[in-house]
Amino acid sequence: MSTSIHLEDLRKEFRTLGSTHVAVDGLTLDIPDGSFTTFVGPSGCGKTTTLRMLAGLETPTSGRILFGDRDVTDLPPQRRNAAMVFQSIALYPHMTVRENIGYGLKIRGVSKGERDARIEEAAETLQITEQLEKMPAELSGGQQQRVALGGAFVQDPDVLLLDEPMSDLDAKLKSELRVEIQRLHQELETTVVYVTHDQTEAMTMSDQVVLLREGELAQADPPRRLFDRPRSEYVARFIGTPSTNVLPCRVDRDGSTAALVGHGFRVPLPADALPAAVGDEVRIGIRPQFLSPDAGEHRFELTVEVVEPIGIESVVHGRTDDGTRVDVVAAGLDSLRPGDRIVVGFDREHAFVFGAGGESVLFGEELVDGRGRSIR
Amino acid sequence: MSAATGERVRERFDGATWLLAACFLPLVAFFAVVWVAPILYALWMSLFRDPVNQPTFVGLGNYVDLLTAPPFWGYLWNSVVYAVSTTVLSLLVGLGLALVVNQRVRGGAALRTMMIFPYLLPTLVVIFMWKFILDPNIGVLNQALVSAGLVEEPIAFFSTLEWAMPAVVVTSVWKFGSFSFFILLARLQAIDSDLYERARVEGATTWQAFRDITLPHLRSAILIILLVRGIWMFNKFDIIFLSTRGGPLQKTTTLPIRIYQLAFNEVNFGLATALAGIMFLLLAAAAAVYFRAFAPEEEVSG
Repeated sequence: MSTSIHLEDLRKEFRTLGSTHVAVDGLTLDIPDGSFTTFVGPSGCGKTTTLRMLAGLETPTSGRILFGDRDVTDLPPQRRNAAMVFQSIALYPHMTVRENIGYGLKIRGVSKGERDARIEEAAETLQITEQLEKMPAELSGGQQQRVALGGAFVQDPDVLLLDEPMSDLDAKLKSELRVEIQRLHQELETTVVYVTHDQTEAMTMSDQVVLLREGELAQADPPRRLFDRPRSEYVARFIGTPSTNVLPCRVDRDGSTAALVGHGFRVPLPADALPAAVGDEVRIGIRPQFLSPDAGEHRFELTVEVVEPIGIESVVHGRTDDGTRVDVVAAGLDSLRPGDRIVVGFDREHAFVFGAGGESVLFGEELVDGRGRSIR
Repeated sequence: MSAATGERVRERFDGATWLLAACFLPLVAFFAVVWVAPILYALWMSLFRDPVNQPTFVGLGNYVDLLTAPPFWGYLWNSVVYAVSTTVLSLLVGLGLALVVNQRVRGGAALRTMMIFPYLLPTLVVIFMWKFILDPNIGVLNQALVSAGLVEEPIAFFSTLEWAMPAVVVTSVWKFGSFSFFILLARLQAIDSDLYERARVEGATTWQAFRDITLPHLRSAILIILLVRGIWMFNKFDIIFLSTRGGPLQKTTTLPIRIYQLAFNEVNFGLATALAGIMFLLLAAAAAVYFRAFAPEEEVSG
């Protein structure tokens, strides 16, 4: 039985020697029943603390946690029917794989026969049947990871909590296990909460991505929406590789028409698109994938600094003449050399406009047809 | 030696081998002089009656005399009681304190530092201290017991039949408990704390987590402590001799004490060395059984 999760104004402070560190600050969030939700953000953003509060390993300073309509804020871990996979994998080193997977069931008094049946079923799903009688130290990193997953989901938890479970694996194993975990989620009908600092994991696996910044919610949305409609410059820059380019602009108002004037380009604004309250100093965000050499409505010049070929495409790191760093991802750029000058351009439908505080004030399609503002 | 053999020998003994031998041989010679020779000499002496003045070869006669005389079994029993109880109790005391300090309680660091003192204090000082604590006339324990109404008369712990052995055991445990404490604390601190958190999420009680995580991690250390401490305590001489001299009425006379009495009070080196030989064989047999049963050297490497 899976469950929905509701966080209400959740706050966690850590006090050390007189100084108070706020790890999670007023987090309110709904995690739908049976969804795959990923908490993502840089180190120290509060994502692991939030997960540990969900598990019951940390007590919130204030706020409430509900599983469905059950308030679990003050329940001890074992009464939440949540299972957790730790970043360190945390396999009991003196137990065989079989005993490791079955430990939670054994503690709950499940009979040996039923335990073995469930362990073997889990092992088969995870393709570790061969390893059941081995000790954890005899397994490869990927196999250990599977055992840890097996130990968690064999308990048939309402909530499966995963704390950066793949951070120690190599890239190839990661991509394999990503698929595996999604497959498990579909089979299990459990609510999965996954913590990672890797936005690729977050974007590829989740129904909902929760991006945190210094303990506060930056944005919680499905991956596609997070990518297309970032609520702030922070979100736009965190999601997507390489990071979104940010170009400083000035709002040029002239009677009923207005335009964004940057270094070497001018983007006309539909009437009333930008309220006066936004001010005159704004920034345009444009993803490196939407910048093309010698194409696009609005063009500017770059000096190439580094070229990284990544197969068909290349990533070109460069600088505009006013010193703004700009990355471009496009095919056919691998012959460029540092110091070369290129002209790149973008279509305004792909641009984001950020206000002085970093909040998103306009998205690309609004620049095109001026349907008015519909932020959030 | 043929030419071919000489060639092979030369090949085998190249420069590195000579260097190795040059480093190794002095050590071998040293151990032969201070270790192997006295042992062999003692075993040789154990085959004679009056080996120092008028040696008469009696074969295993000294051994037969010892093993057939009833007091031997009493001394052996005392040795086993002393070795087992001090080893087990110092293990339990060390484990308990290590678990407390490992919980990062307030004052844990101070306790950890203090724990080294009993081990550093000279045995004689420890004996004086405990004699003072347990003294029937001026001892603090007796005063406390009498004023609390637990006993009517002060107890002369080191000189009553039923209390002498417990008193010696307590003194020994106090001195040697820190040995287990430090080994076990080091092991405890190496345990990944995520294991306990996983166990909590999986619903394990504190006791279950201790049984399934802590104890397996400590197993190898506990086995080594039992072996090493057990041998040391079986051979222990100073604490017992300095506190009771084996009395009262041989109640705390262990085999090492008896060997001393035979050699230096009764000047019977034949019986004394024979008894030392018996101790040696007993310990070797116990160690062999222990290694066969537990293979602690695998535990250490694993």
